[in-house]
Amino acid sequence: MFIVIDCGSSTTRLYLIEPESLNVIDKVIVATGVNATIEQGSNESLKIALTKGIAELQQRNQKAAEEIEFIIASGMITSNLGLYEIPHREAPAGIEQLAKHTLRFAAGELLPVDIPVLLIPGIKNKTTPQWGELRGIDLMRGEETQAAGVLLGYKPALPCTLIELGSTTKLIAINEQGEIAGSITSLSGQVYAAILKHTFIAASVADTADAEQDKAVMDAAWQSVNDSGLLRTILMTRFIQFALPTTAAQRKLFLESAIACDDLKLLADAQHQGFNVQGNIYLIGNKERCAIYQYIFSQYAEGANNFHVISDSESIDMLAITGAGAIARVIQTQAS
Amino acid sequence: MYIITIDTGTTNTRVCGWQGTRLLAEAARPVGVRDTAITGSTDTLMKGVSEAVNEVKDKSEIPADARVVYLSAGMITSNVGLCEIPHLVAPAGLRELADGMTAGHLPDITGEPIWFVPGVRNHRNSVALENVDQMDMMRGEETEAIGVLTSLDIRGPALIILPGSHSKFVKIDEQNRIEGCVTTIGGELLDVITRHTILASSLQHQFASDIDAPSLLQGARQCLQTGLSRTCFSVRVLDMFAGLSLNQKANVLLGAVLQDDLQAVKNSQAFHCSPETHIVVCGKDTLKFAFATLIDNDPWFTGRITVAPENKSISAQGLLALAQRKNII
Repeated sequence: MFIVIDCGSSTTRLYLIEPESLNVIDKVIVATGVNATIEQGSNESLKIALTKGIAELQQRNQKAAEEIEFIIASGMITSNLGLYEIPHREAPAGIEQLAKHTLRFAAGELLPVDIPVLLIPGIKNKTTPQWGELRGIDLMRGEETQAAGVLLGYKPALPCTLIELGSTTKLIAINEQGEIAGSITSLSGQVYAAILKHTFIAASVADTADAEQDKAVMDAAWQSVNDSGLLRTILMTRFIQFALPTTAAQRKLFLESAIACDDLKLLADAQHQGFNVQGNIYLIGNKERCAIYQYIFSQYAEGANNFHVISDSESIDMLAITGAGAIARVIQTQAS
Repeated sequence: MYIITIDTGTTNTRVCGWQGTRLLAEAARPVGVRDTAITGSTDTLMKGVSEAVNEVKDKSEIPADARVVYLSAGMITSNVGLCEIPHLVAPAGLRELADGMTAGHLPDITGEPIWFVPGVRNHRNSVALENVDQMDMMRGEETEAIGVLTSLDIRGPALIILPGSHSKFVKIDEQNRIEGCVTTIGGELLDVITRHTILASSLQHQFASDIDAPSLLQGARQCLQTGLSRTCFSVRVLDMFAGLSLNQKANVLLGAVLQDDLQAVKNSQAFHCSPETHIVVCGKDTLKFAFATLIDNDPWFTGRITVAPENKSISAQGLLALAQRKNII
């Protein structure tokens, strides 16, 4: 068996995996990510948190170190704030390339555990950073492993596009060869969270469940963003409260739709970058958010018709596990 | 004759003492209608305004028996202010606003009547989801607009840009009346993006201190092409991979935010702004020059651009002009 680590900014997930079936035997979530390195000026607390998480998996399942073949990790763990910085690989890159450039550390070398550790590198767009090509610059750490999970787990028709809806929105283009052609990221998730936490707009959408899909509301948000921009539309969320008989849930839907409309330009930008985004689109994230993006993109993005939604947390967890498992298999094959 | 002007906004109140048009003294308090909205009571606002008025009276050495005229504008006339007055419906100019001034009595502040200037709302009889974009309103900016028009001798049609926590664009028609306004959350969102997203570390919580035109224009261009949220991420990428200064990165973000603001003007359903409309940009230097730079480099705008000198008393000047028109000073 092996352990998969998916390390993010604020949370790290550790899974104990049965290798043949990729069944999750056990899972530990630690509330520590690379942000801890920023806060404390050293990666020591991240190292301690990961070591504890691994020990917890071992103890709970009574597994000795020698029963665990390896630990394979992806995400921010390979950034300058993680345990060991690995430069991004340049796109296009498929599972073979990811496996080829995965770094192996002997037991005890990276973490104080008697298990070897494999670190999967991130990927960056093939572009020359310059003012004129600012929009072409993008990168990922962790999403490449999830993308490998989609390719293995869902076997999509190629080319296809993945849109991961988290604290960032990341569009990942998969080319005809099943390689990651590149990505385009927006900060929409964080902008939305900041609006809700730090502006008076929160009062207009507060304490409400997600709204039913209301096409009139989503269409109105699109019209407003299209005509008047995102910043005016965000404020309209407040105006609507006093001008129209609306529920807080409808206003929340209006606001979330406006954010999705701003992200609509990611598809056009992807085409500008030369990515083929005419295939199926896989939306990955919160169910309600995926539904809004599906409606907005299907209505207002040319050629975006076939959507697949991956929204339950177990399925999303499985993306990193399947991807890491596939990369590990390739490494083992290459080694033998 | 002595005059006290009171300008109350969402978070701040500014009071000035005048003898004729000569500024004698000023005082400010960090109180506004936000305090009423939070506490449900006007006590904090009333106390803060009263303190500022007394401070100005003391500093101005106004004789006890002198006649003092009190003038006020801003959010103080809202339902969370001290004297609620309904908005006038646009179009409204110097005459309509002067006619609409209402005397109120707030004995906790003064025994004299205080003349309040009404706000202005866009002309829409009924609001539906389809036309809600045309709806907008102002309280305080109408008085600032009058101050700008009179102090700079501006003739409409013109578009007055008043940046702040919310960017307010006030359209002036051919008859120098306020035709309508559009508001965006630009300033407030710039603040939360800078201080409460991952960009807080990239920008070290700092805003642009000076205009760096190439960076500003790059941010604006990218926002047009790829959207605001994507441009925010590009600022992060620039931080990681390019040797830009803090101010340059902050300019990229500023350009993106203000570019999105300008879209509200170009396609506004609330008023008609043609490319040749005279643009008058007010406010603090950085925001003012940023707007002017973007408009100057935007081929859509072909009209004259006037950059107003920084003037903290623009609201007071509007109040004085309105009071003169009403023959109360």
